[in-house]
Parts: sequence; C-alpha cells; structure tokens
Amino acid sequence: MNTTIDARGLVKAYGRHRALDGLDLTSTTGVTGLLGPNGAGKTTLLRVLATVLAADSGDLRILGKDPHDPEGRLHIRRSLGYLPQDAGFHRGFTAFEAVDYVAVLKEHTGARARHDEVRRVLDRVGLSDVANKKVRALSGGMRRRLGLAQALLGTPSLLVLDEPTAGLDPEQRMRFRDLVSEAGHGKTVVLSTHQTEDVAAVCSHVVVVKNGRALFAGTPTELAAVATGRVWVDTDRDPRAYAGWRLGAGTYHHIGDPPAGAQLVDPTIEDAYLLLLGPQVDLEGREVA
Amino acid sequence: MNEEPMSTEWHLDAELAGRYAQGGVSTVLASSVEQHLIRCAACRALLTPTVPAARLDAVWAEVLETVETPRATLLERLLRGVRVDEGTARLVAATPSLRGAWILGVVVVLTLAVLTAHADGNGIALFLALAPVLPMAGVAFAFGPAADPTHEIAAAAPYSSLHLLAVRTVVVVASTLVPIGLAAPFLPGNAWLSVAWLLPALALTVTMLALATRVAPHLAAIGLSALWLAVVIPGLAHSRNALLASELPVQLASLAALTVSAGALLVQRHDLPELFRRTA
Amino acid sequence: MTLTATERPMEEHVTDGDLLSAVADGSTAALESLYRRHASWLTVRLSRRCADPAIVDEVLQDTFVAVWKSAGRYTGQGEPAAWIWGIAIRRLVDAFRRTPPAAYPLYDHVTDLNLIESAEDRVLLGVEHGDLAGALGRLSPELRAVVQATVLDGLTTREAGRLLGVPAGTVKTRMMRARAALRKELAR
Repeated sequence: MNTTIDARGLVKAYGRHRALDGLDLTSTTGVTGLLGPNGAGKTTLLRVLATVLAADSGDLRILGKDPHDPEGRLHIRRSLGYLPQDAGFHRGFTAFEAVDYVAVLKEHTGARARHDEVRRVLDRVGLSDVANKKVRALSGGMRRRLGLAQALLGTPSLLVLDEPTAGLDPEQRMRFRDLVSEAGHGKTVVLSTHQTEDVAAVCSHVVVVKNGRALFAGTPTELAAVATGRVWVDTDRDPRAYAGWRLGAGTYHHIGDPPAGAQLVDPTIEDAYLLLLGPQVDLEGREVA
Repeated sequence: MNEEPMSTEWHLDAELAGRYAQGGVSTVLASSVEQHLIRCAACRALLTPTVPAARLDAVWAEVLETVETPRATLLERLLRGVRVDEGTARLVAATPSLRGAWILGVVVVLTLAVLTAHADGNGIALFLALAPVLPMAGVAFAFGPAADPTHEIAAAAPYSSLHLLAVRTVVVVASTLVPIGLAAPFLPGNAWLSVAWLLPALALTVTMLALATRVAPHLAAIGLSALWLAVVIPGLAHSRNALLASELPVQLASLAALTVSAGALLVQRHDLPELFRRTA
Repeated sequence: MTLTATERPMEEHVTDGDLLSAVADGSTAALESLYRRHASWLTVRLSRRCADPAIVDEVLQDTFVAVWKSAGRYTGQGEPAAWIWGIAIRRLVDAFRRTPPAAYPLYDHVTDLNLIESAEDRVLLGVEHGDLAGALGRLSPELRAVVQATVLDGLTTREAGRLLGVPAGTVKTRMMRARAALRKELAR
C-alpha cells in the first residue's frame, strides 16, 4: 500500500475563519470518503489536495511530491483528476467540446488520440449519445456526469471528487458507485459527501471532518463501531439523547448515553457519524445555531 | 411497371449475395438485385458478412471523428496558421467570452478607424483616446472565473494558465492591431498617428495584469481607463494639438509603465496563477 | 422522442425512419445503428461503380457525415435506403470530380452475358424485368452504363456524365441511342 496523500496539521484561514484548523489526513490506494456537515472544511481540503489552493501552514505530500514546489505541483497535476463542487462548462460548448477543452488543458496532445480519449470517458459516464448536445441543453444530472467524465481523462492515479453524488438520481448514484469502485482499484480516490450510504457503499476508508479538523479516520466498520453501546431503542422519546427519531414500528431510535437497562442495538455508520458530530446537530447533519 | 407485388416474392440467397458482392453477376442481374435491395432489409442483411467488419469499423471511426469533432473556427485556423499548436489554438479560440471580446474589439476599432479616415483631426484624436483602452478591456474580461466557468478545473490542470493568459492577451492585442494596420494607410495626415495608440495599449494591458495580482481585473481595467481618459480628454476638448503635443510624454510614460509592470509580473511569475485566482 | 444514453437503439423494431429522426435530434448512437445496417450493402454497391476501395471508403464516410447533417431533411416519404443511396451515389460523383478515375470499370465489372442465360437468372430477371432484361443485356457496355446511371441510379445527365467520365452531351446521345435500341428489341 502506497501512501498517496500525507497531510499533517493543515491550516487554511480566510480572515479570522479557519476553514482548515490543523487537519491530518493519510490516504492510500482505494476510496477515501470525507464525511462532514456543510462548512466543515471538506471543499477547502479538496481544493488544497487538487493544488488549486495552497494551505497557509502544515506539511503536505501528494503522490510523494510537495505541491508548493512548482515542479512537484506540475507532477501532481499530471496525475490528477478533479471534480470541483460546481464544475462549470461553457454553455455554448457541446458535451464533447467541453471535455475536449479540459483534455487540452490536461496536455493530451494529438487531436485524434485526444478525441478518442474524450469519447472513452463520455462512454464511461453514459453520455456518448449526447456528445453533440450543447451543455445548456443537458439536465443537471448529465452536467454532473460530464464533470465526472473530465475528471476521468487520462486515468489519473489520484481522483479528487467534491460531492460527486449531489444531484444524481438513485439509479445514477448506483452507476456512479460502480464507477468509483472501479476507479479506486489500484488508484486513490478522495471524495466528499454527506451521504453516509455513499460511504458504506464505496469507501474503504472514511474521515469525519468538522470545524476544519479530522474527528475520526478509519474503515467504515471501525466508524460504526465508535457508536457501539451508544445506540438504543425505546417506546418513548428520550430527551437526553444527542439525536433520536421515530421508527416505523412506534419505537424511538436514540443516539447518546443510554440509560441503564436500555435496549441496545447494533450501530450504523450514520449513528456513529451523528454521535461524533455531537448533540448540536439535526438529522441532516446541519449544525444547529 | 407492376413489379411491386412480385418483388416481394423473390429474395437473394446467400450464394447470390456472395456472387453479387464479388462482382460475379452480370450487370443486368446486378441491377435487379440492387432494385430489390432498396426495398428489402432482410436481403441487405445478407450482404453484411461480405464486407470485412474491420474495414467498416475503420470508416465508422472516421465518421464519428468528423461528426463529433468541433469545427475549427476562423480564429483557430488563423492561430494555427501562425504556428500556434492545435491544443492552444483550441483553448484560445473556443472560449466564447474571448471570441466575443475579439469580435467586439475588431468591430469597434475598425469602425473607429473608418470614421477617423472620414473625419477631421478630432477624429484621429478620438481614435487615439479610445483605441488603447479596448485591448485592455478585452483582456480584463477574458480571464478569471467570471469569464471562464471551467476556471476551477483549469486551475488543477497541468497546462500553464499563465501561458494561456499570455496567448489570449497576445491574441486580443493583435486582433485589434491588424485592422489598424490595414486602415493606417488610408488615414489622413501623419501615418505615425495611426500606430501611436499601440504603446499606450500595451502599457495599459500589462499594467492591468500587474494590478490584477492585487485587485479584481475588471476593477483594474476601469481604474486605468479612467486614468487614461483623464490624461487625454482635456487635450481633446481644448484643441486637437493638445493631444498631439502630449504625445512624446505620453509615449514615454507608457514605455515606463510597460517596463515596470512587465518587470513586476516577471518577478512574481511563479505565484501569478495563485494571485490572479485570489483577485479574479 | 430522444434516445437516452442507456438505450442502444439496435433493436429490430426500430425503423430506419425512427433512426433518421433520432439522428436529426443529434444522436450519434442512432447514426451508428443506421451505419451498421446500411454500410455493407452500400459498400458493395459502390464497389460495383468504383474499383478503388479507398475511394469507396471515403465516399461511405462522406455519405454518413452527410446523413448526419441532413437527416432533418428526410421527409419520411419513401425508403430511407433509397434516400441514403441517393446521397451515396452523388458523393461518388463528387469524388470522381475531385480525382477522375483512370479507367472506367463502371457498371461493367463482368461483361460475361452468358450468366444471364443460366436458368436461375432467367427466372429472376423474368420476375423483375421481363423482356427488358434481355434487351438491356444486348446493349453495348457504353449504352448500358448510361441507362444504369440515369434510370437505375437516378442521376441527372450531368451527374451521369461525371460518373462515367464523358461529357453530358454524350450521355444524352447515348441515352437516345439506348432508347431506340431497346424499343427495337422489345418490339421484336
């Protein structure tokens, strides 16, 4: 197992706000999922990993190179596929032209070979048949897949995907998971999400991020185990629980510190995630003011 | 000719299909076969094995390449004509905002030049006042996230964003220069006047880029336009000679600004993409 | 209706007309289906009119690029195969205008008219063309080529001239002579 990303104590501040506040991250081949509420610093971290943004301080090695060094940065960029949170394309481009444009930026020389590569990635995300449609005529889900297509150009050894499942319908999400699992084979994928299902489905490694720090890093099974003995069901709502919701059968599912004699149940990734975020969150993982 | 009902009754068999495909049937029989093929999908399918799949695949690849490949625009072909590589030409020419700026710049400058040719000395003064601002505005609005929705992806790509910016700048400036070069011989009076705008234009453009490391490029462009007009408008208002008299100082000042700004850009060249990203 | 990316419109029940309208909507998958259905017989038929396989391939390519561009102009009237052939034969004429063929093997790969005399062929031709077949078979190769280009391939006099490498006027006179000969043959 090769260490693809080795980050120690990353700090990135915007004025007084510290988007990254001493974050550590280690990634190897496979799929690493960043799980965290909005504003936790996931996007900032991914932009740093994509060499778009420089951290203010901390140590960072990506693919063994230093992104601060121009040579190292170039090396990383040549092995990188990046899907930003709002991947945009000129609306007047066709889907083909949009990906072709990125392929030029990614130094795919030779028009013919480049066009073949563009066709390959469009086929991978199931957009071959709309290759000649203008970007403005594509649905939101299709544009999202177009963003994914450009990230796959050149079969990069590091894929950085910011909220790749946002805006996809359930069927597309399933196809996307297949694609990511495949891409993660022998390569490194780092993706952010706030869907715990995504993590359970594709990630070999998960990092819970909050307030610019990593609260947890480990396998999804290890994450779920964090909540062992902290999840119980009861016939009434327990106000002391961090989080709780009503189950279909008229019982309540609770996360927190169980009272003596509570009926404990096996925790899920979601339980552990909510537990880690602490009592100040609602069920969508948004922080409560 | 009542061949319609009959034609449905006879069909090719594999043997005849093979013989037809190899040119082994007479012209007259071939004609009959061909008339039949037009109407019969089943018999057309009999011919599928007679042509090597690899040959058809090769032709199909060419069809797809032609059909899907974006057509080279005039600008792109011009760029490739002056030995800009295919990829860079695509990047520059395919940017709609740049295409817009380019066309606008050419149209405005050309119109000004034509007007100038038919106006009195004030026409030249007006032309000299406005022409330098146009390439700068074109460049200011041709880079950054506002002009380029693919900006964030481009920032993570190995292609040098600085190289791209430089090529775009050259294209915008050159594209306004060409119509002027064509119009210059037709301008009345001193031919020097028709190119006197060039140095201020370059100075404004490069200074705008140098400022763009600190403030947003469009703000830099607006500020510099105001400054430039403050210098040239008084001359324009009083008498046409006022502008002409200030020419040498203006040209020298432009040269100085160009040198300083280019130097500043050169010193910071490794950090420029990062600096531009912060401001743009 | 547009075809979504997951559908591969190769199914039998999709007609050529459906495919053409999907192509007009910008579907390259539909264009590919159309190509898979028609490329073989077009190649064979073109090869009978042009001995150079490189030119045949080029014409086939031009044909489907033209189908892509003008699929919207297909009215839904008549056989799509005939419409596509109409494009192909005109592309061949264009190709010959660019590079005139050295020799004219056109329409006349095989001049062995004995083939017609086989029992099987006589039955086939009797069904398709009756006495006309025999009459055509006895025309000289030059006259027969003109009849084929104009009557069977539907080319104009000028296009037929380009295809055959003779002036349009010659096509006209040969056509007149062919008609006269055929009339005489059929009257016998």
